[in-house]
Amino acid sequence: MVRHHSQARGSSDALTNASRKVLFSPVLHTSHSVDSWWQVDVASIFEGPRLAVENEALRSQVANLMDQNRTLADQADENSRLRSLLNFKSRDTRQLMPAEVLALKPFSERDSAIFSRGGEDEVTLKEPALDEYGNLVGQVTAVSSNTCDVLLLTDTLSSAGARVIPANSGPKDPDAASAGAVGICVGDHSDNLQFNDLPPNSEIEVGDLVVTSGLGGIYPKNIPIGRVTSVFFDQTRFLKSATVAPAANFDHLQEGFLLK
Amino acid sequence: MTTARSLLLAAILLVASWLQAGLSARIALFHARPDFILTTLVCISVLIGNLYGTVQSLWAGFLTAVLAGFNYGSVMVSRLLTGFLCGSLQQHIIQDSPFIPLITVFLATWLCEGLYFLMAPNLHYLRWWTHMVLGESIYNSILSVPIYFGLRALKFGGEADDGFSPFVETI
Repeated sequence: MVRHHSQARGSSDALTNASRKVLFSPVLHTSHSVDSWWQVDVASIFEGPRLAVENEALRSQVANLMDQNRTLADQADENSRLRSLLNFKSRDTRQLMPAEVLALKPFSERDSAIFSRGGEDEVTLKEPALDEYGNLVGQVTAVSSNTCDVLLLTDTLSSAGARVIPANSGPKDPDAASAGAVGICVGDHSDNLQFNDLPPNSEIEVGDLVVTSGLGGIYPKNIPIGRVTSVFFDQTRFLKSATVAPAANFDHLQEGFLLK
Repeated sequence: MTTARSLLLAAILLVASWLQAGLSARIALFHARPDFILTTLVCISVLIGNLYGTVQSLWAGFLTAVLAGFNYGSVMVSRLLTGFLCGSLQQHIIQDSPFIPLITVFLATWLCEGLYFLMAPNLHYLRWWTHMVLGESIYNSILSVPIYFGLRALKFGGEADDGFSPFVETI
């Protein structure tokens, strides 16, 4: 098969680069800014009382989270000291790069999005993309100079190694993240994801959290994917499967992050 | 058709592509997403005929391909053929009938997506594809009415565009 050099590198060709830079990026970036301005500065004027109540609730939530954060920071320090004592390899600390979603599912045959970061921001292929709440959205499949294409998880070409975290295990359960069954989450163009290849004896129930397993090398561990909505047994393959409602809203992505 | 009017149509298609990028997914209904570029292209082609319609189709295909970011050839050829075939209807329709955009855009959406499907088949998801195209064709049909009559208001499809072909004069 003959492939263009830029395709082999996963970068867009010069014409696409230039077209996106000149024809699309400025206008879509401006419309995104206008939309943000409208929602923040204009529409919010009419939401004063609701915002005051929400603000009060968020203040108490922030106080709780700060308290939890102090505890977690202490535990992280302790963990890192113990890991160094045992000569464990240190975990990667990857940076989040914020990005605007310039185009969302612009072509009907594929669930993809165009993010406002590209080669100039040192975006590379296969970088995981998250929504504004840190839920998994997809991965970078092509990079142009100032934009990149993100293949969304709901597309049929997408898949991610995933792991179940039982709904009844809280965040304080240290083994929860490694105890759940491991399978593969794939998209099928619907609102839900299919969680396949689960062992027949795996314990998985409706409401369980599904996160990335870290297997496969593209997505790091423990990025939220969604929650299990149904479980069924595949008689022909003798494996369990489940349907997962994704945590990210793929029809209303406006901002996101790329995991460097 | 003058160069200025051709450029105006190209600019209208560019605006349609901005709407496609920024708005299409956000106004989806029951998983149906409109294709602003295709709808505008069909309306334009029906009004201006197959010669200039084909030129605009090339531009529309290019804009769609830039947004899609893959399968450039299939995307462009499917739009090109759709624009050409819709343009061929120009002499056979009553241009001011409100049914024209509804019917032509509905059928042209199936034609365009069908051509694309032939060039880039996705047989495992045939059922999804059928639902997707049905929803898209209905959505496109509804959107086509304001677009079509907006173009008519700009005097496209008038005598200046009727059956005029530079080839006829030169041959």
